[in-house]
Amino acid sequence: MRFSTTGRAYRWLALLLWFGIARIFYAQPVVVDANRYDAFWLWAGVATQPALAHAHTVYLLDAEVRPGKTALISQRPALPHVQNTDVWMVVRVETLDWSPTLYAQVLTDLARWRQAGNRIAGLQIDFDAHTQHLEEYAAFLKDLRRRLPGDCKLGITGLLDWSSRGDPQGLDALAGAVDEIVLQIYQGRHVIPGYEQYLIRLNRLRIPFRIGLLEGGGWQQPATLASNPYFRGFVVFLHNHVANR
Amino acid sequence: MKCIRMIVLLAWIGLTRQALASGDFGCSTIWRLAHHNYEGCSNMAFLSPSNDTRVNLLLIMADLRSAKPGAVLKTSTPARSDAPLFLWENLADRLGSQADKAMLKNDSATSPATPPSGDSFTLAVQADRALKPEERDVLLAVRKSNRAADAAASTFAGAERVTNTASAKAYAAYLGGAAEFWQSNYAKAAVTFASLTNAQPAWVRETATYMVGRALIDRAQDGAFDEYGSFSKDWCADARTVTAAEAALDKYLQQYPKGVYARSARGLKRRGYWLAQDTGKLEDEYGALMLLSPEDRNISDVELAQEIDNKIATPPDTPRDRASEDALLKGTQNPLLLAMLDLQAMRTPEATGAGSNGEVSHGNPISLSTLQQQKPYFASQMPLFEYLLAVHTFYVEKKPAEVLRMIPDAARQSSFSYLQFSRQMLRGMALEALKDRNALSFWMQMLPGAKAPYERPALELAVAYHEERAGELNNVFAPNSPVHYPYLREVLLANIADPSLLRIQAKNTGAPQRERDIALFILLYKEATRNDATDFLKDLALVPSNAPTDGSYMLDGNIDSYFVPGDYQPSAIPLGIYLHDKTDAHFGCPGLRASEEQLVQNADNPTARLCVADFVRLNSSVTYLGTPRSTVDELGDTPSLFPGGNFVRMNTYTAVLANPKSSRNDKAYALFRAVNCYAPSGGNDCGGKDVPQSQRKAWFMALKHNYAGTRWANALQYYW
Repeated sequence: MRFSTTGRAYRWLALLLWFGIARIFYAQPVVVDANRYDAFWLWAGVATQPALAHAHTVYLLDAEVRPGKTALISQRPALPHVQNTDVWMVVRVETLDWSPTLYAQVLTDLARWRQAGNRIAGLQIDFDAHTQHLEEYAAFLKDLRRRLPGDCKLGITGLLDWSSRGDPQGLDALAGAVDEIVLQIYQGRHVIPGYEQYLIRLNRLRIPFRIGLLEGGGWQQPATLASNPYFRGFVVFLHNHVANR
Repeated sequence: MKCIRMIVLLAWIGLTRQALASGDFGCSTIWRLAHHNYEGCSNMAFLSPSNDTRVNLLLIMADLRSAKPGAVLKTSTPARSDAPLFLWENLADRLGSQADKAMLKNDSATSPATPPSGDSFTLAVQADRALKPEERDVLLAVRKSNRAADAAASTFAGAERVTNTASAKAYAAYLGGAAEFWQSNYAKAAVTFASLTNAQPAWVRETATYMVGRALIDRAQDGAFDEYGSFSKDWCADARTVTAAEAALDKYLQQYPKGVYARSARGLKRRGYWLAQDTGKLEDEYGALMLLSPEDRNISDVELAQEIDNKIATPPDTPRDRASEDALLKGTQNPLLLAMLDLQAMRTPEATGAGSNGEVSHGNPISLSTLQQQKPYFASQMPLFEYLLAVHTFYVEKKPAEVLRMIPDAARQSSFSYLQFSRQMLRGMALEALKDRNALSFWMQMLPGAKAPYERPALELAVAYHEERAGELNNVFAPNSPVHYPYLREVLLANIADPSLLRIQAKNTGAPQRERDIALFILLYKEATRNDATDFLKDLALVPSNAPTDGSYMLDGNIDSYFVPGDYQPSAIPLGIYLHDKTDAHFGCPGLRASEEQLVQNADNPTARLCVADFVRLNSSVTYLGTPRSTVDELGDTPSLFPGGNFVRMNTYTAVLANPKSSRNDKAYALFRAVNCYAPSGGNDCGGKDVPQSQRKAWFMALKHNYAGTRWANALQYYW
């Protein structure tokens, strides 16, 4: 999601244009203050922040899977030892073409994190599956889940347009494959214009979901969100603060 | 205790794929030669301000590699043809024989270099004749348990009891130090190892001497990581420990200049410079390492470029201004690193407003005098320095005529180093800027020598861009054209080509099938929508009856092939939609061919025009082909040579509404469609000028009142 370079933001723009919604009007929202939330992503290269002190859940980036690379690429300087917080180990994925080594390494990392005393809630896969290929993605996830320890949940990040553009079969397939989806309302450092339009269609989703917010980004909660039976709260993507000089 | 602040250091951590290399997360490729600002996917094979800093470093290192007599630049064969513009990952794959290693390396946590693998302890004990057989057995058994798990120190006390000879005691003591080391008790381990630097067995002597420094480096990093495994915010390295580590590593290197741990010790020293924030020493070391072969320095070119970028170049999320960049430049004396920093300091915002990385340049580039003051440091690299001055003249001062004086014509070469290529590319760009009539022949003269990776595609872009601006599109598609890279040709066909060229390419048996299909697809779309029904019907005969209707056509100027699977095949061009198009069952269009036949009789036939608009609306591959392109002065954004202008559905609806011959049903449908252009979000999906909501309301009301009872009035419940 955020740190991968290349055309991903570009592709998003193309997608937005494609669907002809680039110019959707959106209201001036409130700014996301990390101190008012209790679940966070901590990505590579992002410094630990005070808001984490009261976190109930932390999504911690562990490693990346890149095309053509047989091994996991570590993204964390040292083994975490997180106290009193649920930890999701996050793996950023660029390809679903996994070697046996990759599966083994992910399981090893999970075990190491557990041995180090971290309260592991699950594994989160961060992959920008194309809206039209959700069924293939679901098949991958089902297989992955089979390999995980029984007490380890499987979660994924999701693109906002899945709810409105994803084919119903694909969404249903995902529902059977994962325990939760965190839907991002931003891309890069920018909140996606028109995210409210997507959120309205969240009623199509039959999977427990959280909404991924960008620290310092905009957010305006739709009235219908709180009453959605699958809504499980928010996750805030932390980033480094730039000093004003 | 002197405390080295780690605040700045923190920001250096290069775990993200790009330190200064990137400024933002996304990027868009801009298809021209001269870029002024950083874009992660607009790198080119010549040293330039806009290139990723790692790309510039790697190009410089590739030249160092190929400059050695007899040396050949190691390159891998690309899975698909090289693009004129590329990502850092592409170049790392092509030029870095050890690219994988660099990607795998978590270089902030581990030492820059790790000691040789394999258990040399076991080998040393097995070979040491001073040991009694029972001593050997005990030592090997303890070693095994030590490596299997975190063995307690008492195990080693036991080992020391059964050992009698001095040699065996030394090995046993070494095992004790190793156990302390693996238990992260680095201070104690350093003391233990230090006590063994004069031990009897040569292996223990050398290894312990090395391990003193290694343990101290690790000790200096003690506490560096927080509970999340991130670098601690307020942590600082203990300066005395760093100094002691450096002294210990120096001692090892003096005693064992060619020792088995020599390269690792050198890497650890480098880590020490970094921990101590001794930028001067760090840069000297990087400069020295760049001159060594990857084998001699135990780190590949790709890894080294990545590490230098992480540790030296400006950290991400740091505001950049002239003063901070000058401060960085002031402390730098190595010419190769200076070149990297100077090029970066010549970035300026794109004049056309293109690109998404406004924040990485501040519009206050390095001054000429600052650059000139660096001259003494470039004594060994004068051609590079002269090039940097010319870059400044071109990119910052914008004086192309002077560039021609600074860089003599050397277009005809049997091959180009990247610096030679950079110089001539800059001269060529200056010729283009001056609209010199020899610019094209200059590019052509360079072509035969452009042999290194990415050189030739860069020239293809230069030629295509020139021909487009010169109005000589036909040259690009002539049999002897040097322009091969598919996108360069496709964008010109899709955006610029006139009907005649499209028709020629559609029938050109010498052209790739995909290119022929694209030419025909564009030709038919434009004829169908731009009031050229007669030619449409003629050219429709070129579509094979079994042409696919599935798939999609989208001009893709993205170059993220690195992230696309190797076996990826683009979708077939859905030419079949011109024979079997989707229609709206309720409005009842007869199909595109029949509609066009009606338009041959009467170009204003309202029903047929609505049906053409429906063809565009319902067949997704053509729905957005009329979207206006942004103009950022790149390949394929000059005015189209195809007559008629972009097709905009809204224009059809307003024309039908204004046409007195339109039927009641046609007008109702036009109103229905016009309102629906803004569904469901209020955004205009039909192209053309946006109309205010009041107009949409007026259409809605007109439909409900004037066309009450029609299917379309009944079907519409809202306006947006």
